[in-house]
Amino acid sequence: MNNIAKNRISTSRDDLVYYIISGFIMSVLLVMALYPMVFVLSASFSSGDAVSSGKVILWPVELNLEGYKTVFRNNDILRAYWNTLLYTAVGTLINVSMALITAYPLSRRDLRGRGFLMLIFTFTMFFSGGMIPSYINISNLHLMNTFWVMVLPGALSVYNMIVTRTFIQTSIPYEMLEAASIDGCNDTKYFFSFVLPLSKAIIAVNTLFSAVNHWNAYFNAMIYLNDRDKLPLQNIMRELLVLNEMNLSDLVDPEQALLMLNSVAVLKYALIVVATVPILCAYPFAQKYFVKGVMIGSVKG
Amino acid sequence: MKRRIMRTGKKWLVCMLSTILACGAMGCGSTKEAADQSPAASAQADSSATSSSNEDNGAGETRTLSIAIPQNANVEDYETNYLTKWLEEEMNVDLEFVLLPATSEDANTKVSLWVSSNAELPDVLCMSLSDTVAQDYASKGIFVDLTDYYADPEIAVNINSSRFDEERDTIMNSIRFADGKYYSLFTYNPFPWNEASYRAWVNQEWLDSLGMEAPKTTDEFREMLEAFKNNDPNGNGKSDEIPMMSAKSGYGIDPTTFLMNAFIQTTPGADYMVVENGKLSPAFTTDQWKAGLTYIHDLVQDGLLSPLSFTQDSTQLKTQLTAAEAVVGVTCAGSTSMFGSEPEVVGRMALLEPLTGPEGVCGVSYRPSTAGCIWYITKDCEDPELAFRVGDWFFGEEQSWTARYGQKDVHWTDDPEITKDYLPMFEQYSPAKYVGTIYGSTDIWGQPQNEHWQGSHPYSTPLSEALYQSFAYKEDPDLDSKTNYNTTHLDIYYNKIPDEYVTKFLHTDEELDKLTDYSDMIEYVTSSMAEFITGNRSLDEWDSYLQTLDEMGLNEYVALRQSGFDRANAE
Repeated sequence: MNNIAKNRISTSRDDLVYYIISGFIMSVLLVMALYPMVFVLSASFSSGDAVSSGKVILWPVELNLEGYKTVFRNNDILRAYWNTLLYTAVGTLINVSMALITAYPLSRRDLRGRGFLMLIFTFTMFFSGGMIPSYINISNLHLMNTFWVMVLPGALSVYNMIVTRTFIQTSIPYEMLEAASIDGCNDTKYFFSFVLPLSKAIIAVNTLFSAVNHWNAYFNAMIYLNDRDKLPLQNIMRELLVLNEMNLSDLVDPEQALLMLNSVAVLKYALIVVATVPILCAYPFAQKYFVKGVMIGSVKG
Repeated sequence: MKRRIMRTGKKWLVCMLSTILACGAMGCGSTKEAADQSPAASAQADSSATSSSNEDNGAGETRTLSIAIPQNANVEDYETNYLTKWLEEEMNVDLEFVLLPATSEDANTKVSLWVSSNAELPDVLCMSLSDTVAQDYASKGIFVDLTDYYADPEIAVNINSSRFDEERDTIMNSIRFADGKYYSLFTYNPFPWNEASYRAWVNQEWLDSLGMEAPKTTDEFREMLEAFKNNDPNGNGKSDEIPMMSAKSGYGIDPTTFLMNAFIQTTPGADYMVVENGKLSPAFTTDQWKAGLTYIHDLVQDGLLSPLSFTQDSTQLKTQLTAAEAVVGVTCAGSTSMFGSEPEVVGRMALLEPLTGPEGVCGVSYRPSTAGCIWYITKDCEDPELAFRVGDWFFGEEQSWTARYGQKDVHWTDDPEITKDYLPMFEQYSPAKYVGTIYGSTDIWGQPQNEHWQGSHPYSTPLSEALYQSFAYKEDPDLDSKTNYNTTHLDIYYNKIPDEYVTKFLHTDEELDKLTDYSDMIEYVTSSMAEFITGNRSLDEWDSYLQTLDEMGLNEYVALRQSGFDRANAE
């Protein structure tokens, strides 16, 4: 008994050293990544004065909910929240559909000119028209200041499409198509009945990628939208956050500008929390698809 | 198994079909909105409906003006704003707002996109632009020349009223472009408190407990700091006092400016230029400057001025200043907001008078209020005269007051019955002849509100009118209380402003171009200053410092600034 225990310790010494060192490094990394989030959370529950005078270090100081009350009272924020949800939902649906309907044909070996098509798609990943031509394009398409300008530009993400294509190519055997064709299945039916159900994992990944992108997008809204009631949450948030970063030497009346700052201090942290929580919640659910293989058993049946 | 696949397949079929349908619907949707080609067009398309309904009222034709204005988190809705409604009613216009992003950087990106993509611009660009950008757009013909409108008292009604008689020259001087023309309306709100903003504050309780008088000279100042360090003024038995502490940046915060002004005129905002008989010379190459550096260096050396003052930011300083038990004796800060909102904490700090140096120099850093350009009328405006008139409307007395304080008789009043209690305390500081009183002890400025545009548009309260208004609260029971620093500031700072000073530098495009070659000059001066003071660099190296400046082209730089200075002061 004693001997065995001794043996086990002596054999795993290298492991032990490894575990201690890697455990230590990982803990340091974890603290570094976690601290800002804990700080934001604590600050959002603290009083404005405590935040702006730097009293919040780890735990909330002068606990209160003023920030959250302001967030949920503010019509702009609620409307922007709704807009973001809408843009994310519709935008993601378009992104995922586009990626799939492009990726599937390109994954088929019997598609003629496949290499050339891929080249064209890939080309757009490295070269874009630039900001001004894009602006003129959007303007001539009459998309300016509409709902669609938030979901249509970049409808197809070439990167996601390539990932999807590779997935379909490698995980769905070509023989399945042959078998299905012999049974009288046409291409459309094959796509909906075989490819889609077998691509759940990649659909989940795609959905997560695009949803996060849409959730965080602010640049298009900034450039193309002119009405306040169309703006997504990120733009309203940015508006509040930049109040804190004014360059005082540029202002005509700095004393007046300083007065604006305090009221914003708490609100901004509450807003960050409110804006981040939905995406944080979505991660664990999508994550299982990253790990779990879907192909187990599918060919056998 | 197979059935299950079929079922999910159907679900997806529905999904895909609806997507395709949605795409189709989008196609139709966008053709309907064909008018949305450009920011201006969208605003005008919306408004055509409103204007026709207004005509029925017999109020004459309501014209539309589209205004590009940066979003402001504290303005709830420009469309339904009190000021907007009032303006629309009085001027019989319909304002359409095209919102720009809140940061000036993003807003500039958006505007430059409009300009470079040749989109139709909104009628008015209501934002501040940097001198360089504004000159560039003006020279491209993006902005309408307003010189003739300004000259016509029929059009520029309020600007030509007696309200601006005393300050019109100052204003017009500061908004003139390098080509001698005017392209913009302005915002001008002079305020002595902002003009001499590098203030020092002393802990009055500490002074009282040590039985000391506030210092008048640099030597007395040093003695006071030593007493703060050694005699435990906060009486807790520990030597935890920091005699003097400040921060490296922030509004009026830099610790050196206050002290250096006891040796030589020191004005960071004017590139530390000293003006004598209309000639500029740099302060930072003089022996007085060196003497000042030596004095401050000794303070740091002896533990009287915390070296953190040259590295920490204003938030870190605020943490120290707002501590319940006072630890800081003297600090430099432009705003009382650095002391937080606890009355006891704010109340214990008192303004410190500018110090007199060994050579009898006693000055303050002074930057006069200038008017800023903010209302540019663009080439695509069909009726620039109307756009000008609308901008001019804001310069009426009540309009300008509303722009700053909110509704008359709701948020402020000029009712003599009420103001008579407040006027006397400001009388000695002529030219104040009028004080408005704010109802309640809270000011809607800086709060989310729907009364005004938070000041981001042309308006003006000239010096002659409403000098000290923001500090006279109706419900403040004790107007002479310590927190009313404004009059003290006038007594001890504002009376020491130099006779000659830099108002602004007005450079041509060519000069602005050349100036970029010297962009790190002032940076070098300020960083060297910190190095000399903290002892990272010995003052024995003073000559090599002068030599480096020379090699960087100091003489050419001063010559460029001189021509900008001369142009700004030319009649």
